[in-house]
Amino acid sequence: MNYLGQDLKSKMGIAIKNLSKNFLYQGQSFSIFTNLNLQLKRGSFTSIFGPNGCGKTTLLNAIANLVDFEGEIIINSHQAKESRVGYICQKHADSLMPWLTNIKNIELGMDEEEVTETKKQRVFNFFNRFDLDTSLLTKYPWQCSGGEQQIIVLVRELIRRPDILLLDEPFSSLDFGKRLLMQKLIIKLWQETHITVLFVSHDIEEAIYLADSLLLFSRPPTKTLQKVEISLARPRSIEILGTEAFKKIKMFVLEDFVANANEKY
Amino acid sequence: MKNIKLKQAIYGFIGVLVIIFLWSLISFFINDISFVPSPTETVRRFPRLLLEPSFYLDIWMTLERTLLGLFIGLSLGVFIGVIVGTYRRIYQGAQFSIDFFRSIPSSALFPIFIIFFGLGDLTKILITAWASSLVVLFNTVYGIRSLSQEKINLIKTYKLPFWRALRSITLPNALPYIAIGLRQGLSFGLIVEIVAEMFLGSNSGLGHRIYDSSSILQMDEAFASIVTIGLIGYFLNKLIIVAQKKIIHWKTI
Repeated sequence: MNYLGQDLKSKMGIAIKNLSKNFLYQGQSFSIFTNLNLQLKRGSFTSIFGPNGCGKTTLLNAIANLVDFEGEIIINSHQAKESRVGYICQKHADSLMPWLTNIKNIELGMDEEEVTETKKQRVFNFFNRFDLDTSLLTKYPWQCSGGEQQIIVLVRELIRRPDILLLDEPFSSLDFGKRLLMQKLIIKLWQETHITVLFVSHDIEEAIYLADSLLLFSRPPTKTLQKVEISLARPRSIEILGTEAFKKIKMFVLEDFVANANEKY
Repeated sequence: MKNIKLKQAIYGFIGVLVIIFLWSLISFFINDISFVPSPTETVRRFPRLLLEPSFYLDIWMTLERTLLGLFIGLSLGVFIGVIVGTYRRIYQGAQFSIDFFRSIPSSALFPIFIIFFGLGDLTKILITAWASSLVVLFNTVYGIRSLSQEKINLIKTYKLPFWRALRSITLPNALPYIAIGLRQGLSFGLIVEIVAEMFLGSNSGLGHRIYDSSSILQMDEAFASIVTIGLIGYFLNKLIIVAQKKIIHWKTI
């Protein structure tokens, strides 16, 4: 059992079987996924990297059961519909309710039956455990910086003990310094909670730097072009970006990306 | 900050002076108190009005019926607005009807209300309620449907039950829109209420006073009543704005 009370002995994870999804665009149907198959180990940190329009967000929406799809998504041996999915989208600031204080925002994801006092206690414990600033909790979201809002959103998802955490370019609105801080925090949270993370990024260095493995997606109909295991030692620091091992992985991914992209001006 | 407020107040005061000046000019040229009394003549009428108990009764009756109607209109508008705004099918089905009824001046419906509810207070209250409920309804629907995709996704991924989502997310999100509807509803409601008092054979209310005094050419009293209605509308609107700032603290108006 880990800190969040999840059973880690069972080595399950995420299985995506024969995922197909079509879109109607200007009266024409085009396929974004045709029988996509994916396996993610439980507790792993996986990055997805790929060209625009390859369905990264659609994949996350399918796992979160926000769109219809054909095929099957199994999370820890349950159908995705029945499991708890944590989802942080690109415009995550819009998912905070400005009329609720940050602690009330966090409590939105917790069971309503739980006593208010114990809910509050759990939030405070979580903040203290990860050295987060508890003075944030009584503020309103609009009184907070982008980085602080990100922390609230992250805690809100993690305190629900999700079976999987989906991150869709969560740091795209932060400046470089804040980004580094948040990357550090997310790794710390992931390592202590052992939650399975699926991370979508446009930034190849970020995608490699954070993850255990990287999936390179093709243009639609989307296939996995590469699954790259990233065996760089942890804890990682920013210096790792200059090492030969890092550059080798990066070039390996980029070569395939460019070969598939076939971009024209 | 203080300077800006002071400037606003000064300009506002100048604006009032300009209107009073124009009014004086018109009344000066017409020069007939039983047609257009001057501002001074109108103000001079007030002390006598303020000594009449029936004047206060008229203010009270107009206020009571307007606020009761507004309250009914607000409740109905929000209730139906939430339902229409929540379910896409109902929204599609109701869209035409809402726009259609919004286009009908409430005064055109007087005969129908009279047939059903008679000539008493009930008709005036309900027609005020009708007029204000439509704008509240329309704005509530708009507010409910303005929920951002991120918040909709949150409700879905957290599998929040309808009531919890309504209480914590959907309704607060619609509140700024409902407040706009309430303020529009107030001004519509007051219009309809005064019209009803004037023409539905009422025996109380400021509308009734305007009608009666103007029919015996007591235009200074009619003008004084009109000014009173203006002041009532102004302060009720201000009251809602103050409440709005308190309740909807996350949005600046």
